[in-house]
Amino acid sequence: MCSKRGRFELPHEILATEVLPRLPAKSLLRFKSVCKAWRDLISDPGFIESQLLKQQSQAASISNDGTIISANQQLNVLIGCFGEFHSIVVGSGDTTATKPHFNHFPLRVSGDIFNPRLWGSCNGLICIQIERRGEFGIWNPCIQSYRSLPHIPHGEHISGMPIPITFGFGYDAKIKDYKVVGIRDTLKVIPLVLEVQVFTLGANSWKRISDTNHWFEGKQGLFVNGSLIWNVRYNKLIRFDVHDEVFSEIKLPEGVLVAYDTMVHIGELGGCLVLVRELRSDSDVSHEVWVMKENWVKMYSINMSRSLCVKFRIPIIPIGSISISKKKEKKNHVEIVYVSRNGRLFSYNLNTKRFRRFRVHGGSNLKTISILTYVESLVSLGQ
Amino acid sequence: MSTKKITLLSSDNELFTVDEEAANQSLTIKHLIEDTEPENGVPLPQVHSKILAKVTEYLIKHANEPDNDAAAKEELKNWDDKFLEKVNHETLFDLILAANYLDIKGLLDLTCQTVADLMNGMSVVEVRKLFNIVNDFTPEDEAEVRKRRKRGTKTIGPSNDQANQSNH
Repeated sequence: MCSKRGRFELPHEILATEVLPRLPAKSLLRFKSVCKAWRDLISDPGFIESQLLKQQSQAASISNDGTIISANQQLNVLIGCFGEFHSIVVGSGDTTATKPHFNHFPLRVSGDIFNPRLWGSCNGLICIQIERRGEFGIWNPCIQSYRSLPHIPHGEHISGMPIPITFGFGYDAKIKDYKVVGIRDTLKVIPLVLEVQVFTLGANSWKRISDTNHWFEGKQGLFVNGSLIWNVRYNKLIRFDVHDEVFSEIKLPEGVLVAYDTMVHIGELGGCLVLVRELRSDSDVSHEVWVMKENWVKMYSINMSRSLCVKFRIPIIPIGSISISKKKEKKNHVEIVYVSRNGRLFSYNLNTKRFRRFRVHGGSNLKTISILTYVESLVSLGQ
Repeated sequence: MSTKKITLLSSDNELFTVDEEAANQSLTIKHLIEDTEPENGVPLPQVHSKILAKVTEYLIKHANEPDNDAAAKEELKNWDDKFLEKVNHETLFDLILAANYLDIKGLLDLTCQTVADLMNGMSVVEVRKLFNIVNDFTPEDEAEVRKRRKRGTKTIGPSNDQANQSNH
């Protein structure tokens, strides 16, 4: 070892493997200018992966009996509005989280954005559709890098229906590559046939796989734990294994009878698929929230008066959990962050059982088109 | 169950005694005991008594980690925070080196996370100072970096300067 080494130094090896991967992506971007060795390290794909894994290991988690073991310190929410994007950080350094940080997040993709739609997020990458014609790309907002994807090839029985009904975006951990799944109408309804196209980022190409006969609608696929999940018509949950590229159906929890007064929504908490069963009566609306561990486990229920629901447009989709420190109680509260039907953000405090609405500065007029959570990562888009 | 005691010998020949269960959190010590069964204490020539005292304090506290007891976990977490609260940078780095050498995962995680949290609020200059790193970028390199940051990527450009500033 170099004798000139001061007592205050740590070997580069320990810094590189044990210390730096624990830093958030934003700080690492800054520390690229510490020295050349750090710049090279922070740009290295192996390091980027280890940093991402470290961040994921510190993310929120849920135990097998459905209790929240740990919640996020902060949640990055990206909102696609007409013509622009906004990012909101919920819970960052703010013990009460009553005022989420709000960043105007301008993204211009060679010209105008028309009707931006966020189709999915995974490892800090976000799949966005830029305009109606189906032109879309992958974006890492943290490193401000964007890559546009080639158009979906025209199918054999397509006539004027080039736009997929829905997309899903996920990561295939086995081949360490990202995939976009597009599901497209074939105009065959009896029996229903939908065309499935899979794009692989590494290969930069689309390929058509076996058709599906599940009734996909406009809702995006949700990437959870190596699979994309769609909530399709008739309250069915369809799972797509991103590596094996096959569809299967996920059974609803037992006793969740899907009747005319029941609706099902899906979301994600602590890296797990979460199902919300919504029951309506004349006077109130109740939610049962289930989490998919080895089996479905019921997490909690919420009862809301009808008037409250009308006022808040019913927060329905859980998108994350945050930890709120309460100094007086010497104990952290857990809040579940929800998105309402009209794209507003709410949180539900599991300890006090109360809803809270996030007032987003300047965001009252936002016409939300789509909304999702993302992590900050250094993952580059290749090419 | 009787607990076997293990004696550890620091670089400056101080002895520390801990239960075997506590000592076994260090994989290095565990292997040394298995291999040699040293009679006069496990020699740890790389660890000074000042640091070994802290390390054994940690090992004793963490000997029986609570599995599913949320309150006990919370208590242990608070203890961890206190454990490193008044530690200066020099000791913190020595603890990292010791945890790395002794292969104590919990202590390595704790100390490295503490350094990472420390760095998070620091400027580039402060980080260089903390780790005694020499800035090896030429002024030309730095100008290039600044230029690139301002320009952003080809396809994406912030629509106004205000947004650009808020990123810093």
